[in-house]
Amino acid sequence: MTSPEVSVAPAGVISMESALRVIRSLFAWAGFIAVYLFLYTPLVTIGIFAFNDSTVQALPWSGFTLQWFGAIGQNGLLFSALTFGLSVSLLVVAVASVVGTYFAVVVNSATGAAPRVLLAAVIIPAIVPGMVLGLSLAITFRLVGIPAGLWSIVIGHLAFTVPVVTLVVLTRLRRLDPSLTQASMDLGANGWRTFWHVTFPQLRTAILAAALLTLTLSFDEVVITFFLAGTQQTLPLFIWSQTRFGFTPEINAIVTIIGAVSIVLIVIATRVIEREVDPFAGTGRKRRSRRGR
Amino acid sequence: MASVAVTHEGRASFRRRLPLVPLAAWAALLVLAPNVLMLVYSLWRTREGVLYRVFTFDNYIAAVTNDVTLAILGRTVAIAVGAALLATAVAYPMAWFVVRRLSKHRLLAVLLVVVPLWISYLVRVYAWKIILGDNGIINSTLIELGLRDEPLSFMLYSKFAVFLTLTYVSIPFAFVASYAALERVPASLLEASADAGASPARAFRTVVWPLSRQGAAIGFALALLLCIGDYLTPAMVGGLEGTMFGSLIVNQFGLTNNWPLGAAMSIVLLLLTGALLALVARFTRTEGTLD
Amino acid sequence: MEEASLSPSRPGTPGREGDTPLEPPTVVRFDDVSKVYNGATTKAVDGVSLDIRAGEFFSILGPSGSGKTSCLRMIAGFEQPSSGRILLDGVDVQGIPPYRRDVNTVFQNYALFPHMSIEANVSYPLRMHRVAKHEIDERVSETLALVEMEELRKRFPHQLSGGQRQRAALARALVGRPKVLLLDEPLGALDLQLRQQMQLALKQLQRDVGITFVYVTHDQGEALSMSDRMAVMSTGHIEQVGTPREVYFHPNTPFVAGFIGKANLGRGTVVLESGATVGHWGGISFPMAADTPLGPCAFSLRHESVSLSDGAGDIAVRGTVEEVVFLGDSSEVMVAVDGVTLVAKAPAHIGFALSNGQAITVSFKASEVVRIDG
Repeated sequence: MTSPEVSVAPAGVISMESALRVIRSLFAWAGFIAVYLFLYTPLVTIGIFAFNDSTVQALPWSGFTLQWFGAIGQNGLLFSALTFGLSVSLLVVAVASVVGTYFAVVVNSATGAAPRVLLAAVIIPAIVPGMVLGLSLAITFRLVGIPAGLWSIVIGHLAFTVPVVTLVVLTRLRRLDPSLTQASMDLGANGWRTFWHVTFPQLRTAILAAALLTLTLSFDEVVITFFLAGTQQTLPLFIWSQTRFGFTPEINAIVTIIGAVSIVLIVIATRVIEREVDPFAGTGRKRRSRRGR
Repeated sequence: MASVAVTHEGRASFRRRLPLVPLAAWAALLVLAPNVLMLVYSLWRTREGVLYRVFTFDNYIAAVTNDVTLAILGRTVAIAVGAALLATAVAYPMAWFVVRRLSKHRLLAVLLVVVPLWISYLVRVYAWKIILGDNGIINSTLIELGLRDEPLSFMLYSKFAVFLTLTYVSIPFAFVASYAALERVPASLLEASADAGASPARAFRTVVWPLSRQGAAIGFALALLLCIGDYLTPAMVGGLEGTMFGSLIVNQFGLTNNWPLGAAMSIVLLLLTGALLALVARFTRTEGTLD
Repeated sequence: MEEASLSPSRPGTPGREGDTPLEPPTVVRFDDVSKVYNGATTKAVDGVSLDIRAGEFFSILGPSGSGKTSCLRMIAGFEQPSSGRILLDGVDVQGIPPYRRDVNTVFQNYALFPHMSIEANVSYPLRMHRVAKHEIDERVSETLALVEMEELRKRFPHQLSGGQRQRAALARALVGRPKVLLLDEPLGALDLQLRQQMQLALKQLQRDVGITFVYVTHDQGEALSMSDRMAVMSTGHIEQVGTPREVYFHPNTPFVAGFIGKANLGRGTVVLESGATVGHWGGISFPMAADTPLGPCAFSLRHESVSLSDGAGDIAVRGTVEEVVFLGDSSEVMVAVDGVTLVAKAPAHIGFALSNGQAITVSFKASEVVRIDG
């Protein structure tokens, strides 16, 4: 057993194996990083062309400029599309947060098959292809006599964002400790006060996350909006119509701004949610408690 | 005593059901009514822009017997299934990598995959137009470097462009679903299977995959849903060659102004999607759950 | 287990049956209560009738699945009885929601609201009952002092240890001065040492506040050491109600004899022999009280009632040592005697000195053999 031949062989095998493992690991890392490159190349491209001093969106690079950002303010159509789109989305967020949360609470507390069936029905518009939802709503609005414009778009967006809010809030509701609700009832709070003092505070971050998601979904939506819009366009609809006829770099500029704002919003939202989840992030809680008293 | 209890129950159950009324109204007005009306519309007809309220199956016949429409339908399924498969094939191993190899930066890695979802879909698709075009980044680089004299023409306005872009937009969805499933596979199960003598590859095949393939299937289904009903991607980078079924429906609303035909096509698309999802569900049933 | 801790004898508390004509009134009454959960085929609670009196520390003891927690939840109002009635202070509480019942619960996992400070948790019931602000402050401080949590009042639940959370939960349940305090295995999540400290503290607290405690546990040591009276439950019904001493030394059923402490159990018979009542258990015979029912029965004799010396009891029998099990501070010696195996609890050093097959004399007091029906 102690002869040199025997002791050398395993050593050789081990070094071969570890070399193979290193190579395999290198390949894995390379693949992993390649996917991120693939995911971010388009985003970086848009960002770069927002600062490129040329109306042609192609290489070579012709120098740095901020003129496209300045041009946003001068483009009246673009600006009015932006403000119209924002008002649509803010209305949608406000209504969807309340309605979606209400639906989640109702589904969570009701028993029997009815809430499950209704929930499944309400979710349908969030999963069918956009043009199918858009066309079916356009048909309905035409038959009922709802004119194309702000409200038709808002209703159309609510159809697919309310189920998103409902599902996000419902997921959180189902994870809540039922003994907290019982403790509250036990200590003298009725159903409504229990919701307000115990359940809702635990749902806040889920509702916030759902509201943010709703904001981006609504603000970005093109196809459904296309079916329901009147003469006033939302921002993505305006961008869409522009891309058909050659695209001006100021659109790169505005989507860069919107992208940056979105990312800042997610970072803030993630930090808020993390703080809620991580029990040892102290400061936020203390601040809230003072308000609570 | 008993009868009192019964009426108590009855009244209580009515009061418990009352909060469901708004939910039911929502389902009726925003889900049931539009779909029923679309179905009705699909059975009507238009001629020269005038709507005739007569029942006919002509729209369905037109939607599924026309050679062009059928070819587009087949292409739509092929591209959507292919892109969803490729996206899942990329995202699932990647999710496994994140779960196994990363600990401190795991959340960051997940977040970085999801961030593109928060950037306008339209913009992400448009970016590919810039990248793939004749004057796009790839072609100008190739020409600049002297590798080619003229641009590669297959890259934009083609099935390839649609396939690539749809794969791109699908990856985050497939990743999130796979990750959610893989993250729940306890490390102790892997240790147990290694302890029992299984090689890492074998442990993966016998433990990890059976417990997480439903997540992969959900990711695939999400991606498929996204791809099969997409309009922006084929319209932006597909050209004539890359037209998909969704574009036909949009055209019936816009250019052609034949809503009944559009409605019939919508219903065909819905049925097709439903059938595909049912297939996915059928092939990925799992025994046992983690919870 | 020390004798002293088993006999609750404080003035004014009902210790045992027929104490005085001043027996305190019943606060919780179970009147033939049964509970079947939706979809279940067996009854979780099966025909329970029970009186819990004002000011007593009452334990419900049983293994998991015995229905003890269901009983507690029905008092609290989280569950409704499927049949029968529960009366709180003489009033049928059928259909009355938890928030209108004058009982509070200490939950097994404490159920402290994670988004509120300890202070806010404890003031919660007072705020829900719209108590005036200055009174809230006063009573919160008072109650926190009672459980020695004043200096932690600004903390959040996640910043506290298990024992501190337990005390905070106790304070929150007590601050509203409920008629009855329900405790659902409140010590279950604590480690052994802390659990023993808390047992003493809880008992002391109950004496100080004078509120009726209904305490659910599967730990016989807790139930025996803390209770004024206790009920032993198994498979949904009550096996026995009594003082810890009665339940321990005079189990009514084989289940109680087996569940509480350790006892030798076996079948035998009681007969009348030339005017005297005699019990036969295997080959062992011993006198029984004259009023003992005759016929086949079961006998129970606690391990610690069997002595390994022949002078300790009035009945001595010869046997052989079958096996000795070392338990750390003591040992169990199994002795085969005339067709019966008796287990004796003995100090560890005595157990060590014995070897299997050795002949030995064991003795016990005839009065400590309990006849059980069944």
